[in-house]
Amino acid sequence: MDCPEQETIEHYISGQLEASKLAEFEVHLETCGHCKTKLAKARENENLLSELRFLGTTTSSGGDSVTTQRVHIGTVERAQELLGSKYRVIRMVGHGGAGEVFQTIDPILDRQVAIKFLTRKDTAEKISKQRWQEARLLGQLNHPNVAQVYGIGESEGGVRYIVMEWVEGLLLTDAWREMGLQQRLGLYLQVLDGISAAHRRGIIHRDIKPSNILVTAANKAKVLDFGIAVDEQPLMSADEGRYRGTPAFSAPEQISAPVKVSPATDVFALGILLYDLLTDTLPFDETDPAELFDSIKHKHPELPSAIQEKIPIALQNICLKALEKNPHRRYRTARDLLDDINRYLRGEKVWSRPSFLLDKVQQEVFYHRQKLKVWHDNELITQREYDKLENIYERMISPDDPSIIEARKLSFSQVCLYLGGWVAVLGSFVLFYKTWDQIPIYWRPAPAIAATVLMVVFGLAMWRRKESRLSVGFLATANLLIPITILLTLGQWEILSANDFSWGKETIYNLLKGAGSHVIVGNMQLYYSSWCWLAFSLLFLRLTKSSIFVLFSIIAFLIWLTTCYVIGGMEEWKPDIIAGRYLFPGIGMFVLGTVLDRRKYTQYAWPPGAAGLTMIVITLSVIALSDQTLFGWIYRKPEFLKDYEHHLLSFMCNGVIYLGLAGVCRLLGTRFQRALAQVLSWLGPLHFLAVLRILDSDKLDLPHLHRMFYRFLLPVASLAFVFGSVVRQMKSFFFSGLIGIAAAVHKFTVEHLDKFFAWPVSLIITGIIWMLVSWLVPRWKASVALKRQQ
Amino acid sequence: MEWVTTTQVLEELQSSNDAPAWQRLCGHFHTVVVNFAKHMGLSVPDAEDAAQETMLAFVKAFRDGKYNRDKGHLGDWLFGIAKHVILNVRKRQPLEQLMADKTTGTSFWDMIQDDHNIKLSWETEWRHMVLAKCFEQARREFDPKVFKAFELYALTQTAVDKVAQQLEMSRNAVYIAKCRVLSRLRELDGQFE
Repeated sequence: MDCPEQETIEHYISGQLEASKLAEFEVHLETCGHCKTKLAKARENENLLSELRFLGTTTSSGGDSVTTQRVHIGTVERAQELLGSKYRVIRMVGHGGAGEVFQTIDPILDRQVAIKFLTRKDTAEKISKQRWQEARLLGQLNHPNVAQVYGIGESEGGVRYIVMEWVEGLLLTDAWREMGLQQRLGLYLQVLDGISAAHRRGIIHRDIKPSNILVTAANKAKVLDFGIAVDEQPLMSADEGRYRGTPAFSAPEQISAPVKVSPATDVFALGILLYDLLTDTLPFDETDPAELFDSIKHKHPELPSAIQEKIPIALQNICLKALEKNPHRRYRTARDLLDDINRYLRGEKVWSRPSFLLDKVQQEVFYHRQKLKVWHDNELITQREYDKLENIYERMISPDDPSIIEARKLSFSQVCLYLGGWVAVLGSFVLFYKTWDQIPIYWRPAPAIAATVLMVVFGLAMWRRKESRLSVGFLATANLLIPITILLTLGQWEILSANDFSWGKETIYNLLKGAGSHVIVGNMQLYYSSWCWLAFSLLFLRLTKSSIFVLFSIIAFLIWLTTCYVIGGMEEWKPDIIAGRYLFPGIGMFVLGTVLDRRKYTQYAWPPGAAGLTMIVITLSVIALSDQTLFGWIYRKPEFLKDYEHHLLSFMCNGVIYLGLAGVCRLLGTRFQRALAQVLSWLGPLHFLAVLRILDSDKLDLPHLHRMFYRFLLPVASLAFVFGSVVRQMKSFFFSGLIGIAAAVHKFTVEHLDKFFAWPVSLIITGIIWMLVSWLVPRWKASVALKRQQ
Repeated sequence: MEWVTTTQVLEELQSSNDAPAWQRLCGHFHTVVVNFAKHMGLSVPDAEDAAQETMLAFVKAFRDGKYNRDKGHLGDWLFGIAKHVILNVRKRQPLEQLMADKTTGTSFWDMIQDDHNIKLSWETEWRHMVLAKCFEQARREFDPKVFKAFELYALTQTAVDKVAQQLEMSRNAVYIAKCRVLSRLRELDGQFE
């Protein structure tokens, strides 16, 4: 990169350099001493410039200093003279850079009002139509947390004034001195509410600080003084050249050229207010103006948790996001800030993160990518390697929506949410187990339909409320319920079932029947339901961008494809596979993959390695399930073992084989081997639960008490797997647990409860309640935690 | 007004007893004290009186050799004197005349006069005086067109294209004008005290 122009340096200093150019410029700086010196000099100049602007040393034009006139009201008598009989002036209550304020009485309406004279004559004269328009907008702003503007006027002498609501109360900082965190947050939320109402009307306050917020006796916060909002120049007053706004509450863009004030400017001041709320100190408290401006523009504030240990990290992150130097990285408006705090108060995850760490990563990535390009140009790496690494870097600097990442994370509440959804899905699936002749035909699929509609409605409502984590949970459940509900409805109502059996010879129906189904499912029904499932999966994927819907889409597509094959006549299923034909080639391919990997041909190792492993796993499972069993297949079935004991031992042996293979793969330690080990590690917990399920088989002929023990152990162990997965994010245990629960529900249904319509209904209701509880409990916990902190 | 540093003022005050030395001193510090006194709540006539009193007290102490430059900044020393004088004036006045009610009503302005705010107010006034002097000196030194470019672009924040067009300069010349004037201002700032 060539040395950047001066303009780039200036934009960099003012924090207005586009993100795309930022990293490039910083990398250049690391290697260019000339630019470093230029930057240092420009920074020092910029600090001095900020001071000049702040102090308004000059407002001269054409070489001659202009002394700006100031209309000085000064006394109650003078104010009364200007206002005539319209108002009765009581006393002067304050004066500042923009005007003088008097407490007055409106004799017609018999109410107290505050009148602010715009005493800077140049300002009063230059106030443009647009600004008066803003003043009018303020007049329309009727919000309980904003001191209302009743009107604007001009005295006979040409002095303009604003008539405002009179507010009695304490300064915000004085009011919250004795308060706990929750009470303080309550007041702060009121302030946010008031400011966000102004933002909605396009009004920016520009001078938010504790002394502009009063708390009334009724504990209501009132934001005062939108005075600067109606002035022509927000920063530099021509009169006495004073900076307007409050230095310690100024945003970087307010003190840098070119000034671009937006609602995010108010957000910065609100961030400082929040910092004060949390720590009782200001983030930038230098007394020297130049140092203060330098800190505001370039330094990150000390972490609030370093000042007050008990500060919740979520609030800290919210505060730091509001204090981002770049306005584009802050909350756009007070409303967004308010939403995030409300999210925290509801006990939900807050997504705000300070960006400076991400910036660091982006810088490094940019540097690496430049190197990578050089390697590629010099043919040190292949096109494929280059593309792969580029993809990885691309993903790193444009990470997923954090809420989606959180939905993937196995937190306790998220696990509860998914578990509830899974139970509701299982409940709906149990409706397949009987034809439920005692229930009127149109009511039979009703519980599943109701659950699906409820999940869709909840999911979309959550999405609209930007609660993505919960939304993904509800929509994922809805997505699983959709094909089940469609199949169930079509099956129970006998739609598309009469004519299509001949097409596929009931093949897929037979598979479902094997799982205990009594509701007749036709292949055409399956065809349409999988088609709908695919459509909804893609719809939800587009909406949420969560990868779980990619998985659902693939499954739906595979089922749809299989159904097409079956309908097309390619339906023959060959369960009697001869194990030897698959096991040895599988082992051979697996070994071939490993050898290729060891000889550094990793890219060629993947196809045989993955295919070999798949063949081994499928064949071993089929052997364990078939009459042959592993022992019979290797040598001969030991006579003293019954059939199911063979199955049991076969599964146990398979588990041991997979564990051994995973150990070997980890030992070899290449990326390829580690990936295989990860796949194998998924099979361990699944086999453990499968063994428990087999132990409860009729054919094992175990004593009744033992069987009951295993019957209860299976769901208990499955739940332990599901909740245990939270500890180390063990997704293999989580999914195995879900399958274990499904197996347990199946067993209970078949053994005890297949005649009771109430059983699937209660499962569905339990699932929904569980989901709602997992949504509400974190809110309750957060509120308890807040109370404790007080 | 010619460019005179604080050191020159003090040296002149030390060596001569004439009117120009006194005028120079007042030219430097009088406005600072008046503005500070007004900020502390004094009326304009009272602030003028307080400034006069401060100057006299300052000269007397200085000639008595009470000011040691190694021990502190001149501004800090003058602040001590001014604060003392102004507080004395304030003590003679009823509080209601000085400050508006802070805790009730639409009290828009920070009128809370704690030590930190008082000091901040003084430092702001002092810095304002220093920068104003540097600024006037820089204006005298530079070509009016260059200085105008600096004022328009850097201070009034007019868009660079507009400035270039208005003054018939290139964009780069505008940037350079800003850089040159600011660099000179920094030099003058360093020289002043």
